Amino acid sequence: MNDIAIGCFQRGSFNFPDKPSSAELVAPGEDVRVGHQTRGGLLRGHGTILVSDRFTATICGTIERVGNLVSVRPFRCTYKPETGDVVLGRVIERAGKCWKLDINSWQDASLHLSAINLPGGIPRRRNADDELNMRQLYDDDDLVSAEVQSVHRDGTVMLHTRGPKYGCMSLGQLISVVPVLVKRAETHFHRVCSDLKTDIEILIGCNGYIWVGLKHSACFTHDPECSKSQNNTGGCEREVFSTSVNAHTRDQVCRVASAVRVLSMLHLAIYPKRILDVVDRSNDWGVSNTDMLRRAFVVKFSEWMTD
Amino acid sequence: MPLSRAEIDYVRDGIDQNMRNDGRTREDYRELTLDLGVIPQATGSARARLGLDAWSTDVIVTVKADIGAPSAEHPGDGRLRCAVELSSASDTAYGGRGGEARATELSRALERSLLGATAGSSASLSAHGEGCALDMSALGIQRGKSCWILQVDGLVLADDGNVLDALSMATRAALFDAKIPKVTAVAGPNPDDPAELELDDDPEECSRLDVSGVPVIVTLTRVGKHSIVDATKDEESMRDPRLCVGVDATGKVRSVGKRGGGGIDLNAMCAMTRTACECGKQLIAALDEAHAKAEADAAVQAAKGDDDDDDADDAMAA
Repeated sequence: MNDIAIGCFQRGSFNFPDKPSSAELVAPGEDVRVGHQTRGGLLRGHGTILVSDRFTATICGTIERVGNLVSVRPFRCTYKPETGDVVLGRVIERAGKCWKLDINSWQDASLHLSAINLPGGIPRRRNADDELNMRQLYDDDDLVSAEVQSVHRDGTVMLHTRGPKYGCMSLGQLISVVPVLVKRAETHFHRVCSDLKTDIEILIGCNGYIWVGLKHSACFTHDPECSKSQNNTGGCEREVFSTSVNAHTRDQVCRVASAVRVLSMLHLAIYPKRILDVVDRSNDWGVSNTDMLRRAFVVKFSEWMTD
Repeated sequence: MPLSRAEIDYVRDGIDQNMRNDGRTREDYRELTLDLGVIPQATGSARARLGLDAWSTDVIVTVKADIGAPSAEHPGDGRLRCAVELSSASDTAYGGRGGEARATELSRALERSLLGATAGSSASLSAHGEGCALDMSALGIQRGKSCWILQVDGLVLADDGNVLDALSMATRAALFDAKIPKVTAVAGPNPDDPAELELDDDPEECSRLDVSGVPVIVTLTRVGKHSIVDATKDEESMRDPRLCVGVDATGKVRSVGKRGGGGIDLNAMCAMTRTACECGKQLIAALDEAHAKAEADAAVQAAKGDDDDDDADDAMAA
């Protein structure tokens, strides 16, 4: 096993700052102990089963205790959607009035035609023409930021993209991380100025998809009206879509994206302050963009984090 | 996962500007991690990883030496064949028989780079051509009767692009790692039968393969006006033409193969081959360094008498 993996495991307790003292790594089949207790007076939570009067872990993760409830928080798990989550999804297909989106979960989510803001932002009934023009709004493979509107009892996930924040992503890159690294927060859209000049938008999707790109990069890519409708309120209040990014901006986007990757490699929770920490360290240590994903930097950063 | 049109534009623009999505330039490989001797039961084995992410390209190659009959064309030589399997854990599409066509393509490419020629289906034992990378005569035991058959098995554990390069690097390392036991022929009771073979189980008596001629495959992807090495899965998903060049330690071309969609301009192809040669030469130098380090580590461990774990973990920036 390489030293990074070992480093990440040794700092298992460190990864989950909520429980700095009690967090302890367990593998499936191991006893889940809290202090010296394995059973008495405790409630059995997720990731544990009762085997011959002992709590035994069923997944690999850290022990978490909330009051009497003992559970194992997994290292890796599939994203479980909850209402209100901001997610990034990729359009897989169109089924009738719905788009099907891959949101890194068990099931694909659906985005109903009535759950989006039409270009121009005029609220009206969706007619058959809209249904035929769905491709113009979100085409196959498009990356769409959306919010989970509801999760039905059978696990079906409904999304909506009503609001200026949501829409098609462009001018940036997607990084996929383990969903447990993303904490639900008040806002998932962040703007960072890594060097006071460039505004970079980070969208940390609850489903582990993280978008790093230029500010206001979301846009109805295929909408010819996009440039015209800028003054309207609604889902299309976006800048004109262009494809070229200047070298300096790209460098900054790349640095932030690499920072996210570094955190993901070290299995550290991902939030803007920490992303900026990585970016700042890389700048301080004079690490070039090319070398950010090299072992030397990742190890050096992990050592800096533990200090 | 396919990319959206906007993402493809962004990736292509980045390649134009010599700044790829993960910060690399066009001629940069990802961080290569090479472990030798990862499968103790095998004659030789190696694991190669490109990148440090959990989902980075990850392959294991083992070499198994078996005794069998030599081919009719080369009675004094050994034989070699390759087989690659794509783990369904690397992509759901590889479940069942899903990855078979791609696996065959990869094993053929690997075999061709090692043998200089490939014979028929992947199931048949390949005959080696004139450009064979290994000294096959060293693998012969008894002329026309018995020889070593090297079975090179590759397993793709994770696919984040550039699997063929990773496989060829791991193959080279696994061949380096292989320790072929010493075999002596003793006369059997019947003069017509093949003589009996005596296997020396002293590990000190093992012979090693000479891998100095074994090439690595450098795959270049042509994106617009430029070519990139070590494409990630995202970069591969754009279906651009690829050129797979087998390069040996002296920087000479051993094999060339074109894959992917579209065509490549002849001038571009020359430039790409040149780039591949440079990259391949550097890569082999780095691999050789890692081999030497692994060897030294193994020697140190053997001296310590700690023979439980003679894994050598080497990292190097290619």
